[in-house]
Amino acid sequence: MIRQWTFGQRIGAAIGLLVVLAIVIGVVTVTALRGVVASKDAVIDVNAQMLIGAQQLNTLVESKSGAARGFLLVRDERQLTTMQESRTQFISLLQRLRQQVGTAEGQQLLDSVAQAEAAHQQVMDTLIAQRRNTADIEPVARALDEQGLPVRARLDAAIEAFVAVQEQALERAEQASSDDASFAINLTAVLVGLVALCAVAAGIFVTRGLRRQIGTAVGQVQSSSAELQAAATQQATGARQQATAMSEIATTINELLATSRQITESARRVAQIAEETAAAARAGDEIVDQGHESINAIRRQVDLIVSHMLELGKKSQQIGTVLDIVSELAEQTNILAINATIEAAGAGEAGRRFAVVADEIRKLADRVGGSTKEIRSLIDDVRSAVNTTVMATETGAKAVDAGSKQFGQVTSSFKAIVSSVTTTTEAAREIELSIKQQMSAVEQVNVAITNIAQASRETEASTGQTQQTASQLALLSRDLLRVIEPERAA
Amino acid sequence: MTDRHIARADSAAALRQAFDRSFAEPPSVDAAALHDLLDLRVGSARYALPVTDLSALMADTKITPIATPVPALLGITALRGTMLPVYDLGAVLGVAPEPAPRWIAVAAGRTPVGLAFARFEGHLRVRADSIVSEVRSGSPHVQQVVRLDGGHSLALVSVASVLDAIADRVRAAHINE
Repeated sequence: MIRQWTFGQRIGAAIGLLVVLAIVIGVVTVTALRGVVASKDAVIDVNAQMLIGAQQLNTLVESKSGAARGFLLVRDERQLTTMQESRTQFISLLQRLRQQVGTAEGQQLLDSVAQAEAAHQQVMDTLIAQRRNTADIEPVARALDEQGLPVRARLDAAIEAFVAVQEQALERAEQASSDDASFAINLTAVLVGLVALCAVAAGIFVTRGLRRQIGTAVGQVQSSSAELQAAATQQATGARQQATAMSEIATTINELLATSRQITESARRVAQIAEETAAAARAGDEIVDQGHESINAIRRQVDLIVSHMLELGKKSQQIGTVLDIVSELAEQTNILAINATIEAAGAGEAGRRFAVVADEIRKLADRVGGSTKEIRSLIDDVRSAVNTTVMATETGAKAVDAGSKQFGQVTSSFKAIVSSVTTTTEAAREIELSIKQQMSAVEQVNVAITNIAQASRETEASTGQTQQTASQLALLSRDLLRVIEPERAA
Repeated sequence: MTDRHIARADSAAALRQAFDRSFAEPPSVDAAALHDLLDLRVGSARYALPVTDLSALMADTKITPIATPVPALLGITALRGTMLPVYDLGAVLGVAPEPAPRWIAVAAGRTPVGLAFARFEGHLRVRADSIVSEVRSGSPHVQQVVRLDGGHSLALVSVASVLDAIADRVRAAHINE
């Protein structure tokens, strides 16, 4: 993770570490100095004051003793006042010292001092009273020597013992304060050494990291500048080829424009021809409609012929029916004639003339029968002809129907032709319009191609600048590598 | 007007002239030398019946079948109020009988007898010399033949012989009963 830190992060981390160490050193140093100051203050405020107080006790004892001796010498009451003031100060000081002393030994010594002073004062009060009563100084001087000096010696010994104790305490306090100061000095020195080591380590760490990263970056810059040079070279080549291709495309587009103009002219002519074709198709459609109407008229006439022929067939059938009656009558006449002949033959001579008539009737009946056969044959011929005619007319009617359907198909075809031609006309016009739009677009493309060619030339020029910049970048990277790794740069 | 119309108009005119002439001209041939015959077809053969042997010719006359042992008897019919039997001429002549004979020739005699046949071709009036004797095997009722123009000939049926044969069959039938 640390390897991925940036320069700022690395330097910030190193400075931050140093700042933290400096703060730690400062805090520790301040703490140590505070301890030293406190020790010194204790020495000064407590032990020195105690020692001074002890020394003042000697002074006040001397002052009180001197004032007492002065009264003993001269019996001056002011000396007694001075003595009393000194004693008061002595007692006050002793009280203050009692409050300040913190040891039992000190309290005992102060008690000894107080007892010795009380004893001394008692002696001195006795001597003062003796002196006030007598003018002779000798007995007082002897009593002073005999009584006052021992008491005074005990008092001085007690004070000296207290002073000695306080001096020892002061020495111990001074020694402790000196020890604290030495500890603070040593601790500060150790911390400074540690900070110096940390600073060296951070510097090495930051330097190594920066060297490695800058070296890697310089290597990448060198590689990238080489690739950039190669790419710029390829880009320059491509730009030249692109410019050449753009020129060819521009030429092709000009040819395309000429071709499009020809196509536009062709489309316009196609549209014109299609309109003429549509007009011809509409005229043909009208002619076909007229022909269709004629065919329908023929169809109606054929239907009428068929109707007449069927009527003729019915009439022929009726004639055949009548002819059957005539034939039946002829046959019956023939039978009657034969029977008449038979009867005439049976009548003998009397029936001969009747036989002649009967024979004539029979002949007539035979001729009628023959005629009816001929008529029947003729009727059959007529009916056959009628049937043939009806079949022929039906065939003709079917042909007319087929022709009518074909005319309908032709009409549909003409309509389809008209529709197709109309569609063709519209398509030709759309083609013409599209070609015009295409020409406009191609002209725009031509302008764009010209711009692209210009851009290609500019790209070629800028590619040269890019190559130059890449070379400068390679030189700069070598310089930078020389700065951070001279051995690699060499 | 077509040729057929012209030919038929001429034919009508000829028919009218012949009809008128029949009243104007005398008989060309002696009637006694002529024989009236009925030309008829029985089966596939043509026969002739002498008119003088007949008393009537009927067509499409209803024949009422009767139960009879006589094989050739078709039934009975009526002629001018007289009932008469009708026999199949073909069966009598030995020709295969026909299903529905239309014509009946009534043989003259004391008892009229009807002879039924299928087709009647017409009336013939022939000269006497056109009738020649000719005996045909298997046809006992034909002893003469009528020669016609064009080489055709008709078997002249003897009505008397036919009636005798019918009488024989009737008697035989009665005897069998």
